[in-house]
Amino acid sequence: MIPVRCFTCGKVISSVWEEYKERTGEEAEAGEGRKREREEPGKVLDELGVKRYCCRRMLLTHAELVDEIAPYE
Amino acid sequence: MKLKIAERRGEEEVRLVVSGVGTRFVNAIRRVLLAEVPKLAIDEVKIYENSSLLYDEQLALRLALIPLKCGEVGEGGRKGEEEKKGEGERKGKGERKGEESSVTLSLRAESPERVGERTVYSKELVSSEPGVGVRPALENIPIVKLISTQREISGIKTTVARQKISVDAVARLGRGREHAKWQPVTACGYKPDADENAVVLSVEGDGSLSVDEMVTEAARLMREKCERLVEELSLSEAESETESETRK
Repeated sequence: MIPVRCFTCGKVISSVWEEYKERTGEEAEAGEGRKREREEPGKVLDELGVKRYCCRRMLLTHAELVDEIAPYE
Repeated sequence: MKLKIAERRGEEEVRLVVSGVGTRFVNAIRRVLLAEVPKLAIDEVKIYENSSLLYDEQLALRLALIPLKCGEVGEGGRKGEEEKKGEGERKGKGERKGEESSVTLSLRAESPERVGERTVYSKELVSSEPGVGVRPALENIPIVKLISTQREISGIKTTVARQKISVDAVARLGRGREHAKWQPVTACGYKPDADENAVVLSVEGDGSLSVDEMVTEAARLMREKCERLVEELSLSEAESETESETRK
């Protein structure tokens, strides 16, 4: 799961995670048949109001692992 | 002292140009904003059931970090806290925080009946006292993902294993000096203004209080602290005077 807040400054960044993920297309290829156009992560972050680099790295470098550990619970 | 709003973005962000006072004064305001302005945050979580992938501790921390809008409680709660403070002094330090200034939010969720998943969001946290108006400041913070799974053993499918969480969270007023979840600001800092002989203070809130509310509250708290200092200093002065008089 994406951390609720930025580790460094404490800004809530998890609320924009799903939009970020969808627009940057990290999940776009899975199913649906049609392919969406991937947007530039930097541009998406600017538009979502994530301006400091401490907050930007939270979204940029996040690896979602819940789905991978799910079968082994 | 002169104050000018240089830039403002809604209730969340403001840049103030403060002139006529030194950086020390602006720094004092910054420190009060970080550590002294009280706000609500989830402090205790009663977990009745948690079969999700997150451990109880992780779930509780995620809940605690959700900024809560106080609504009307800001006032009542603050009063409650002051009453409690007096009580605490009588009972001695380390006394448990009173129940009068707490609000309980509950969260119940289960993964779908069929194989699949569902994300639980902060908007699903509901207050047990709807009249009080405590709610998450942001609605779409993902708290946990609940997944329903099914296994197939030699062609036979097992029943769908569902995940469930059932939680009561108690929110209390607190201060940033105790835990960052009670800190109303995120990035908050100052720097000297480029052209004028002034200081620029930028304040960014986390959504629980508006910047206006917290800056005025910070100023009020600072004033209160100064008054108390003057009072205690004059008190000790009076004491030492009577002491020296008795010695004479």
